[in-house]
Amino acid sequence: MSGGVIIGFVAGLVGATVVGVLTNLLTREAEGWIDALPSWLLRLAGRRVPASHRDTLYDEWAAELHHALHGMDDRPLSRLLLGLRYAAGVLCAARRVAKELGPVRHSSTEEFSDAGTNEPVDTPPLAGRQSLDLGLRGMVWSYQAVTQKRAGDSDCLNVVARGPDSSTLAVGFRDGTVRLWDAATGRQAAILTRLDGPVMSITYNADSTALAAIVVDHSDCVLSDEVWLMDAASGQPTARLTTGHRGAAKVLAFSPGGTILATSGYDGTVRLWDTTAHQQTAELIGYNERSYRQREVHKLAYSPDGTILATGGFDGTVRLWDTTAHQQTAELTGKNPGVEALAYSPDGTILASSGSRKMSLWDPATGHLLRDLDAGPVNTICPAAIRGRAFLAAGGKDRTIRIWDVAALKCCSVISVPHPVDAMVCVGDLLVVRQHSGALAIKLDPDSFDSTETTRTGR
Amino acid sequence: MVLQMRVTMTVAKVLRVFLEDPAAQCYGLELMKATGLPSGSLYPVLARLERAGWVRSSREQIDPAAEGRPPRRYYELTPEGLEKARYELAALAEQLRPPGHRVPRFPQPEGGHA
Repeated sequence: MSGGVIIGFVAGLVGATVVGVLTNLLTREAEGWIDALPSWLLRLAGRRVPASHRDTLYDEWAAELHHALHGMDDRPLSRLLLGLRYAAGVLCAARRVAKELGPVRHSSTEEFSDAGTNEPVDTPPLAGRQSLDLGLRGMVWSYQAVTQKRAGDSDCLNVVARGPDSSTLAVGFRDGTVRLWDAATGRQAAILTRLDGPVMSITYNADSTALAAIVVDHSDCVLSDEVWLMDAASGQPTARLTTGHRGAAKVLAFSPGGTILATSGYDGTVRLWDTTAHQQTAELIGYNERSYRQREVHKLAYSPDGTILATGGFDGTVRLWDTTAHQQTAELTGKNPGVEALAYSPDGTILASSGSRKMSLWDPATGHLLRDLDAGPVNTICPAAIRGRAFLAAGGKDRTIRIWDVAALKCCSVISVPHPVDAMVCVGDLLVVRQHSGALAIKLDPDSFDSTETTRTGR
Repeated sequence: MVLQMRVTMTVAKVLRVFLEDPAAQCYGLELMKATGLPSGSLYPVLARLERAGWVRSSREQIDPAAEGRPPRRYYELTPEGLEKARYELAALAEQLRPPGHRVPRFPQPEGGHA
């Protein structure tokens, strides 16, 4: 009798242990499934996108999922629901994401930012980062803002302007500072001033006594049409022009004489300002498309003698204006849907305009099209005069800078850079390229151009 | 960039978050929380903005082993995107503004010097 009790007790004990272990195993199995299911869906989503995007997209999603589920270890069901909701959304949208990204992810920056260093913001840029081997022949220095959440927000570089001599750059940052850099080394010489918001556009006048800047106002939810004028030496603001451009001022250009500032914006008007009296002297009216988005003027370029102001905008035309009579003298219609870049050659004999398709070279005197060049999607054109020879540097979203010989109308050098080119200025023989929150400088050597040209064209 | 960007309500919500601090970098999950958009709506919008050149993305620079988590992908406005986003949001706000509220200095599509 007592033997039966003991056997029963032992059997009960064994049974309870087995059930306990089984339950535990089942729970862990279920938890494993709960964790595996969303990841599995993400992997499935990865399968639905082309191989070119698969790894970067999957890595991104997996990191987000990991972050979303972090700290929910004791809530398996919420974890499952959240994970499934996230992953299912991704699964449904995967193909659309790949389609929207297009064949190549242009702004992807793996190769560069991985090599970046975490220097403090205000140290002179780039002793450390210069050692980055970008494989660029002739690169003198490079600066790259550090990609780090909110910590590096003030080192994002927005605009660069050529300074008073061949050794200074004025650099506008997203934190509102305007800083002076030594062009030859890329090192910071001084913080000139601090403005109210991100500096979107900055330019020196001809004798470099004044700076004009367009600033996005942080606090204001209406767009600002104001242009700041500053003393170039002290950084003291001398005036804030209320330009009256409906929809914000967008571009600036000082006349070569230095007394007139041309401004334009989204409203398609071009206004000329006397920079000593701070008064508007003229308004150039010609953009009268019905849709007012079509009127947007992207670019302004003064001819080197200051008699002509060229404007280019969303409608794809280049217009030439007589700067004394304030009348439109010509309208040049190119093959681009919009004018992205506009520049005179250093000698003023050629006006280059470009957009997503072609780069067009015009004779500004006659308005004749000299040549249409297959230059890729050019964003920015910059004149360069080196050792008596005239060049135009054209940089694009395809991460390529092409140097064109103005006299020969020929491409004499092709430079590949790590990021899409946003803007360029030429300081002496140094080409400063602004791209992806940073900048780099390349020394242009006409002697090497010639050899490049010979090998490239087989001449 | 000539590529036209249609600013729908969904796009506007995302831009709005970016504009709150134009210098900040955000990752997808953060944007989802801030906009209330699900992953299936957010990622295509980010991809479209990235292709149009309004935002750009980069992978976080961390050592996954040291941090114990995979690196995220951060998105930030480009200078061009910052300008266009402000403009488009202001235009949208103007369209949606109840009658009777006027805001000075905002572009009027018709009239004036056009």
